[in-house]
Amino acid sequence: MAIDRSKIRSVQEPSLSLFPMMNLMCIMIPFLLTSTAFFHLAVIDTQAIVQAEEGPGLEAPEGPIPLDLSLMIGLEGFQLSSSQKIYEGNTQALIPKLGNGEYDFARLRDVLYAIKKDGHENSDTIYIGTAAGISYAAVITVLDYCRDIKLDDGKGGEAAPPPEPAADGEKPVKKGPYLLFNKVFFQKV
Amino acid sequence: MARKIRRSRSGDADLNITSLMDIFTILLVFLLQNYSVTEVKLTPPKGVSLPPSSAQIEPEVLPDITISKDSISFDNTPILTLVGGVVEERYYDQNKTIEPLLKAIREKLATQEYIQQLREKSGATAAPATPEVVDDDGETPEQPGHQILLLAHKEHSFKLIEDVMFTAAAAGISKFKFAVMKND
Repeated sequence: MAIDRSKIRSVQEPSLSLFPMMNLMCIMIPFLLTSTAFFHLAVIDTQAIVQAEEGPGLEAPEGPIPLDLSLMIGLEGFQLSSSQKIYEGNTQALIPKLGNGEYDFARLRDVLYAIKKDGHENSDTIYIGTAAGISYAAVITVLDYCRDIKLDDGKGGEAAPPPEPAADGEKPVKKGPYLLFNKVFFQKV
Repeated sequence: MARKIRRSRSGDADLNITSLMDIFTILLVFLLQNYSVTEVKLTPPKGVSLPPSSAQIEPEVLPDITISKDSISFDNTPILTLVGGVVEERYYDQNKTIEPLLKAIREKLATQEYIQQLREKSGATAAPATPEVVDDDGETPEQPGHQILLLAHKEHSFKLIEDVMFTAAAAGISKFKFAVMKND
Protein backbone atom coordinates (compact mmCIF):
# COMPACT_ATOMS: atom_id res chain seq x y z
CA MET A 1 0.00 0.00 0.00
CA ALA A 2 2.93 2.30 -0.28
CA ILE A 3 2.14 5.45 -2.37
CA ASP A 4 4.15 5.81 -5.52
CA ARG A 5 5.05 9.56 -5.63
CA SER A 6 6.02 9.52 -9.32
CA LYS A 7 2.46 8.45 -10.27
CA ILE A 8 0.85 11.35 -8.35
CA ARG A 9 2.95 13.90 -10.26
CA SER A 10 1.86 12.53 -13.63
CA VAL A 11 -1.93 12.86 -12.82
CA GLN A 12 -1.77 16.72 -12.34
CA GLU A 13 -4.10 18.53 -14.80
CA PRO A 14 -2.51 20.91 -17.31
CA SER A 15 -3.39 24.58 -16.59
CA LEU A 16 -5.59 26.35 -19.15
CA SER A 17 -3.71 29.02 -21.07
CA LEU A 18 -5.65 32.28 -20.94
CA PHE A 19 -3.23 34.24 -23.09
CA PRO A 20 -5.15 33.93 -26.41
CA MET A 21 -8.26 35.16 -24.58
CA MET A 22 -6.26 38.07 -23.15
CA ASN A 23 -5.07 38.97 -26.63
CA LEU A 24 -8.65 39.05 -27.88
CA MET A 25 -9.69 41.28 -24.97
CA CYS A 26 -6.79 43.63 -25.59
CA ILE A 27 -7.93 44.08 -29.18
CA MET A 28 -11.65 44.37 -28.44
CA ILE A 29 -11.50 46.80 -25.54
CA PRO A 30 -9.73 49.67 -27.39
CA PHE A 31 -12.07 49.14 -30.36
CA LEU A 32 -15.18 49.29 -28.17
CA LEU A 33 -13.84 52.26 -26.23
CA THR A 34 -13.61 54.27 -29.44
CA SER A 35 -17.19 53.47 -30.47
CA THR A 36 -18.90 53.69 -27.11
CA ALA A 37 -21.41 56.47 -26.50
CA PHE A 38 -21.37 57.47 -22.86
CA PHE A 39 -24.05 60.11 -23.47
CA HIS A 40 -27.13 59.12 -25.43
CA LEU A 41 -28.33 62.27 -27.10
CA ALA A 42 -31.43 62.96 -29.15
CA VAL A 43 -32.94 66.03 -30.77
CA ILE A 44 -36.35 67.71 -30.78
CA ASP A 45 -37.38 69.51 -33.95
CA THR A 46 -38.83 72.97 -33.45
CA GLN A 47 -39.33 76.16 -35.41
CA ALA A 48 -39.40 79.84 -34.55
CA ILE A 49 -42.07 82.01 -36.09
CA VAL A 50 -40.56 84.94 -37.90
CA GLN A 51 -42.69 87.92 -38.81
CA ALA A 52 -43.18 87.90 -42.56
CA GLU A 53 -42.60 91.00 -44.60
CA GLU A 54 -45.70 92.73 -45.83
CA GLY A 55 -46.91 91.46 -49.16
CA PRO A 56 -49.99 90.01 -50.81
CA GLY A 57 -52.11 88.21 -48.23
CA LEU A 58 -52.29 84.45 -48.06
CA GLU A 59 -55.09 82.70 -49.86
CA ALA A 60 -57.69 80.99 -47.70
CA PRO A 61 -56.93 77.25 -47.51
CA GLU A 62 -59.35 74.81 -49.10
CA GLY A 63 -61.29 72.47 -46.86
CA PRO A 64 -61.55 72.71 -43.09
CA ILE A 65 -59.52 75.41 -41.37
CA PRO A 66 -56.59 73.82 -39.53
CA LEU A 67 -56.49 74.07 -35.75
CA ASP A 68 -54.46 77.02 -34.46
CA LEU A 69 -53.69 75.68 -31.01
CA SER A 70 -51.56 77.88 -28.76
CA LEU A 71 -50.03 76.91 -25.47
CA MET A 72 -48.88 79.61 -23.11
CA ILE A 73 -46.52 78.45 -20.38
CA GLY A 74 -47.04 80.91 -17.56
CA LEU A 75 -45.80 81.15 -14.01
CA GLU A 76 -49.24 80.11 -12.72
CA GLY A 77 -49.80 77.21 -15.11
CA PHE A 78 -50.70 76.44 -18.72
CA GLN A 79 -53.21 78.17 -20.94
CA LEU A 80 -54.41 76.52 -24.13
CA SER A 81 -56.27 78.67 -26.62
CA SER A 82 -57.48 78.66 -30.20
CA SER A 83 -59.84 80.53 -32.49
CA GLN A 84 -61.94 77.35 -32.57
CA LYS A 85 -63.70 75.47 -29.79
CA ILE A 86 -61.14 73.10 -28.34
CA TYR A 87 -62.17 71.82 -24.93
CA GLU A 88 -65.62 71.39 -23.37
CA GLY A 89 -67.11 73.84 -25.85
CA ASN A 90 -64.65 76.59 -24.98
CA THR A 91 -61.89 78.21 -26.98
CA GLN A 92 -59.64 78.21 -23.94
CA ALA A 93 -58.49 75.76 -21.31
CA LEU A 94 -56.64 76.72 -18.15
CA ILE A 95 -54.46 74.22 -16.34
CA PRO A 96 -53.25 75.73 -13.06
CA LYS A 97 -50.21 74.48 -11.17
CA LEU A 98 -50.61 71.75 -8.57
CA GLY A 99 -50.72 72.47 -4.85
CA ASN A 100 -47.00 71.73 -4.50
CA GLY A 101 -46.19 74.43 -7.08
CA GLU A 102 -45.39 72.01 -9.90
CA TYR A 103 -46.91 72.05 -13.34
CA ASP A 104 -49.79 69.65 -13.91
CA PHE A 105 -48.27 67.78 -16.84
CA ALA A 106 -50.67 64.86 -16.54
CA ARG A 107 -53.66 67.19 -16.92
CA LEU A 108 -52.01 68.91 -19.88
CA ARG A 109 -51.61 65.54 -21.55
CA ASP A 110 -55.24 64.63 -20.88
CA VAL A 111 -56.53 67.94 -22.26
CA LEU A 112 -54.33 67.68 -25.37
CA TYR A 113 -55.52 64.15 -25.90
CA ALA A 114 -59.17 65.27 -25.56
CA ILE A 115 -58.58 68.10 -28.06
CA LYS A 116 -56.93 65.74 -30.52
CA LYS A 117 -59.76 63.23 -30.21
CA ASP A 118 -62.48 65.85 -30.52
CA GLY A 119 -62.38 66.25 -34.29
CA HIS A 120 -58.76 67.36 -34.63
CA GLU A 121 -57.13 64.02 -35.40
CA ASN A 122 -55.28 65.48 -38.37
CA SER A 123 -53.93 68.52 -36.53
CA ASP A 124 -50.36 68.19 -35.40
CA THR A 125 -49.24 71.79 -34.93
CA ILE A 126 -48.92 73.68 -31.67
CA TYR A 127 -47.68 77.22 -31.08
CA ILE A 128 -45.85 77.71 -27.81
CA GLY A 129 -45.19 80.93 -25.96
CA THR A 130 -43.46 81.29 -22.61
CA ALA A 131 -43.56 83.87 -19.85
CA ALA A 132 -40.37 85.26 -18.36
CA GLY A 133 -38.79 83.08 -15.70
CA ILE A 134 -39.60 79.67 -17.19
CA SER A 135 -36.64 77.31 -17.26
CA TYR A 136 -35.43 75.57 -20.40
CA ALA A 137 -35.81 72.15 -18.72
CA ALA A 138 -39.50 72.89 -18.00
CA VAL A 139 -40.10 73.79 -21.66
CA ILE A 140 -38.46 70.52 -22.79
CA THR A 141 -40.77 68.57 -20.45
CA VAL A 142 -43.77 70.42 -21.90
CA LEU A 143 -42.57 69.51 -25.41
CA ASP A 144 -42.41 65.85 -24.37
CA TYR A 145 -46.02 65.94 -23.20
CA CYS A 146 -47.14 67.90 -26.26
CA ARG A 147 -45.55 65.48 -28.70
CA ASP A 148 -46.72 62.17 -27.34
CA ILE A 149 -48.62 60.39 -24.65
CA LYS A 150 -46.20 58.60 -22.42
CA LEU A 151 -47.67 55.31 -21.38
CA ASP A 152 -46.54 55.46 -17.78
CA ASP A 153 -48.40 56.28 -14.62
CA GLY A 154 -45.57 58.35 -13.16
CA LYS A 155 -44.71 55.63 -10.63
CA GLY A 156 -42.55 53.52 -12.88
CA GLY A 157 -45.49 51.36 -13.93
CA GLU A 158 -47.40 51.31 -17.16
CA ALA A 159 -50.73 53.07 -17.40
CA ALA A 160 -53.62 51.90 -19.51
CA PRO A 161 -53.27 52.97 -23.14
CA PRO A 162 -55.54 55.76 -24.38
CA PRO A 163 -59.05 54.52 -25.19
CA GLU A 164 -59.75 53.58 -28.78
CA PRO A 165 -62.56 55.40 -30.55
CA ALA A 166 -65.74 53.53 -31.47
CA ALA A 167 -65.49 51.46 -34.63
CA ASP A 168 -68.18 53.40 -36.50
CA GLY A 169 -66.00 54.74 -39.25
CA GLU A 170 -63.77 56.84 -37.03
CA LYS A 171 -60.08 56.91 -37.70
CA PRO A 172 -58.38 54.40 -35.41
CA VAL A 173 -56.00 55.80 -32.84
CA LYS A 174 -52.41 54.73 -33.27
CA LYS A 175 -51.28 52.61 -30.34
CA GLY A 176 -47.97 52.91 -28.59
CA PRO A 177 -46.33 56.34 -28.50
CA TYR A 178 -49.44 58.13 -29.77
CA LEU A 179 -48.33 61.36 -31.38
CA LEU A 180 -50.23 64.44 -30.28
CA PHE A 181 -48.80 67.69 -31.59
CA ASN A 182 -45.33 67.09 -32.93
CA LYS A 183 -44.90 70.23 -35.05
CA VAL A 184 -43.78 72.80 -32.52
CA PHE A 185 -43.52 76.49 -33.31
CA PHE A 186 -42.21 79.05 -30.84
CA GLN A 187 -43.68 82.52 -30.86
CA LYS A 188 -42.40 85.56 -29.00
CA VAL A 189 -44.87 86.84 -26.45
CA MET B 1 21.51 26.09 0.15
CA ALA B 2 22.69 24.86 -3.19
CA ARG B 3 19.57 22.71 -3.48
CA LYS B 4 17.26 25.70 -2.98
CA ILE B 5 18.91 27.73 -5.74
CA ARG B 6 18.62 24.87 -8.20
CA ARG B 7 14.84 24.58 -7.62
CA SER B 8 14.10 28.27 -8.28
CA ARG B 9 16.09 28.27 -11.51
CA SER B 10 14.41 25.22 -12.95
CA GLY B 11 10.70 26.27 -12.32
CA ASP B 12 9.15 29.12 -14.46
CA ALA B 13 7.08 31.61 -12.43
CA ASP B 14 3.39 31.36 -13.52
CA LEU B 15 1.54 34.69 -13.74
CA ASN B 16 -2.01 34.29 -12.49
CA ILE B 17 -4.14 36.27 -14.95
CA THR B 18 -7.54 34.98 -13.86
CA SER B 19 -8.38 38.12 -11.85
CA LEU B 20 -7.30 40.30 -14.79
CA MET B 21 -9.58 38.27 -17.03
CA ASP B 22 -12.46 38.93 -14.63
CA ILE B 23 -11.88 42.70 -14.88
CA PHE B 24 -11.67 42.54 -18.65
CA THR B 25 -14.86 40.50 -18.92
CA ILE B 26 -16.82 43.03 -16.84
CA LEU B 27 -15.34 45.88 -18.86
CA LEU B 28 -16.20 44.14 -22.12
CA VAL B 29 -19.83 43.62 -21.10
CA PHE B 30 -20.14 47.28 -20.05
CA LEU B 31 -18.64 48.53 -23.30
CA LEU B 32 -20.83 46.23 -25.38
CA GLN B 33 -23.90 47.64 -23.61
CA ASN B 34 -22.93 51.20 -24.51
CA TYR B 35 -21.74 50.35 -27.99
CA SER B 36 -23.12 52.84 -30.46
CA VAL B 37 -23.46 52.36 -34.18
CA THR B 38 -24.77 55.84 -35.00
CA GLU B 39 -22.90 57.92 -37.53
CA VAL B 40 -22.84 61.04 -35.37
CA LYS B 41 -21.38 60.95 -31.92
CA LEU B 42 -22.15 64.03 -29.88
CA THR B 43 -20.91 64.79 -26.42
CA PRO B 44 -22.26 67.72 -24.43
CA PRO B 45 -19.63 70.44 -24.22
CA LYS B 46 -18.08 71.50 -20.93
CA GLY B 47 -20.45 73.53 -18.78
CA VAL B 48 -23.55 72.22 -20.52
CA SER B 49 -25.93 69.87 -18.76
CA LEU B 50 -28.61 68.95 -21.28
CA PRO B 51 -32.23 68.49 -20.16
CA PRO B 52 -33.67 64.96 -20.14
CA SER B 53 -36.34 64.09 -22.70
CA SER B 54 -38.25 61.18 -24.19
CA ALA B 55 -37.18 62.24 -27.71
CA GLN B 56 -35.73 59.47 -29.86
CA ILE B 57 -34.59 61.28 -33.02
CA GLU B 58 -30.88 60.80 -33.61
CA PRO B 59 -28.77 63.95 -33.98
CA GLU B 60 -27.08 64.88 -37.24
CA VAL B 61 -24.11 67.02 -38.17
CA LEU B 62 -25.24 70.66 -38.20
CA PRO B 63 -23.85 74.05 -37.28
CA ASP B 64 -24.42 74.40 -33.56
CA ILE B 65 -25.02 77.08 -30.99
CA THR B 66 -23.84 76.15 -27.51
CA ILE B 67 -25.28 78.00 -24.54
CA SER B 68 -23.20 76.89 -21.58
CA LYS B 69 -23.47 78.09 -17.98
CA ASP B 70 -21.45 81.21 -18.69
CA SER B 71 -21.00 81.69 -22.43
CA ILE B 72 -22.53 81.43 -25.90
CA SER B 73 -20.55 79.96 -28.76
CA PHE B 74 -21.37 79.32 -32.38
CA ASP B 75 -19.66 76.47 -34.21
CA ASN B 76 -17.04 76.18 -31.45
CA THR B 77 -16.21 79.89 -31.67
CA PRO B 78 -16.90 81.78 -28.43
CA ILE B 79 -19.21 84.70 -29.13
CA LEU B 80 -19.93 86.28 -25.77
CA THR B 81 -19.86 85.72 -22.04
CA LEU B 82 -23.02 85.53 -19.96
CA VAL B 83 -23.27 87.48 -16.74
CA GLY B 84 -25.53 85.81 -14.19
CA GLY B 85 -27.06 83.60 -16.88
CA VAL B 86 -28.14 86.50 -19.09
CA VAL B 87 -26.75 88.41 -22.06
CA GLU B 88 -25.59 91.89 -21.18
CA GLU B 89 -27.90 94.61 -22.49
CA ARG B 90 -25.12 96.20 -24.58
CA TYR B 91 -25.05 93.16 -26.89
CA TYR B 92 -28.68 93.64 -27.95
CA ASP B 93 -29.58 95.81 -30.92
CA GLN B 94 -32.80 97.76 -31.44
CA ASN B 95 -34.59 94.64 -32.79
CA LYS B 96 -33.80 92.75 -29.56
CA THR B 97 -31.42 90.40 -31.35
CA ILE B 98 -27.97 89.51 -30.01
CA GLU B 99 -25.71 91.48 -32.33
CA PRO B 100 -22.40 89.49 -32.14
CA LEU B 101 -24.25 86.21 -32.63
CA LEU B 102 -26.27 87.59 -35.54
CA LYS B 103 -23.05 88.74 -37.22
CA ALA B 104 -21.36 85.35 -36.72
CA ILE B 105 -24.33 83.42 -38.15
CA ARG B 106 -24.62 85.74 -41.15
CA GLU B 107 -20.91 85.35 -41.88
CA LYS B 108 -21.21 81.57 -41.69
CA LEU B 109 -24.23 81.54 -43.98
CA ALA B 110 -22.48 83.84 -46.45
CA THR B 111 -19.48 81.46 -46.49
CA GLN B 112 -21.76 78.46 -47.03
CA GLU B 113 -23.56 80.20 -49.88
CA TYR B 114 -20.22 81.14 -51.42
CA ILE B 115 -19.03 77.52 -51.24
CA GLN B 116 -22.36 76.39 -52.69
CA GLN B 117 -21.97 78.85 -55.57
CA LEU B 118 -18.44 77.59 -56.23
CA ARG B 119 -19.70 74.01 -56.20
CA GLU B 120 -22.50 74.84 -58.62
CA LYS B 121 -20.08 76.61 -60.95
CA SER B 122 -17.57 73.75 -60.95
CA GLY B 123 -20.39 71.20 -61.21
CA ALA B 124 -21.84 72.97 -64.26
CA THR B 125 -18.55 72.81 -66.14
CA ALA B 126 -16.94 69.61 -64.89
CA ALA B 127 -19.71 67.12 -64.17
CA PRO B 128 -23.26 66.55 -65.38
CA ALA B 129 -26.02 67.75 -63.08
CA THR B 130 -26.87 65.24 -60.37
CA PRO B 131 -30.51 64.26 -59.95
CA GLU B 132 -32.36 66.00 -57.15
CA VAL B 133 -32.16 64.07 -53.88
CA VAL B 134 -35.55 63.11 -52.50
CA ASP B 135 -36.08 61.64 -49.05
CA ASP B 136 -38.45 58.87 -47.94
CA ASP B 137 -41.46 61.21 -47.79
CA GLY B 138 -40.92 62.27 -51.39
CA GLU B 139 -39.82 65.72 -50.28
CA THR B 140 -36.55 67.46 -50.97
CA PRO B 141 -34.60 67.37 -47.72
CA GLU B 142 -33.83 70.58 -45.87
CA GLN B 143 -30.45 72.14 -46.54
CA PRO B 144 -28.27 71.57 -43.49
CA GLY B 145 -27.22 75.23 -43.55
CA HIS B 146 -30.73 76.34 -42.66
CA GLN B 147 -31.04 74.38 -39.45
CA ILE B 148 -29.20 74.77 -36.20
CA LEU B 149 -28.44 72.36 -33.40
CA LEU B 150 -28.98 74.04 -30.05
CA LEU B 151 -27.04 72.69 -27.08
CA ALA B 152 -28.24 74.62 -24.07
CA HIS B 153 -27.71 74.24 -20.35
CA LYS B 154 -30.92 73.03 -18.71
CA GLU B 155 -30.92 75.54 -15.87
CA HIS B 156 -31.03 78.60 -18.13
CA SER B 157 -34.18 80.67 -18.44
CA PHE B 158 -36.02 79.91 -21.67
CA LYS B 159 -36.02 83.66 -22.38
CA LEU B 160 -32.29 83.41 -23.13
CA ILE B 161 -32.83 80.42 -25.44
CA GLU B 162 -35.67 82.32 -27.13
CA ASP B 163 -33.43 85.37 -27.71
CA VAL B 164 -30.81 83.10 -29.30
CA MET B 165 -33.46 81.40 -31.46
CA PHE B 166 -34.93 84.65 -32.70
CA THR B 167 -31.45 86.02 -33.39
CA ALA B 168 -30.78 82.99 -35.59
CA ALA B 169 -34.21 83.46 -37.16
CA ALA B 170 -33.27 87.07 -38.01
CA ALA B 171 -30.21 85.69 -39.81
CA GLY B 172 -32.42 83.37 -41.86
CA ILE B 173 -32.48 80.17 -39.80
CA SER B 174 -35.84 79.32 -38.30
CA LYS B 175 -35.51 75.55 -37.76
CA PHE B 176 -33.90 74.32 -34.59
CA LYS B 177 -32.98 70.99 -33.14
CA PHE B 178 -32.83 71.04 -29.35
CA ALA B 179 -30.20 68.59 -28.15
CA VAL B 180 -31.48 66.61 -25.17
CA MET B 181 -30.36 63.69 -23.05
CA LYS B 182 -32.30 60.54 -23.86
CA ASN B 183 -34.39 59.07 -21.06
CA ASP B 184 -33.59 55.37 -20.80
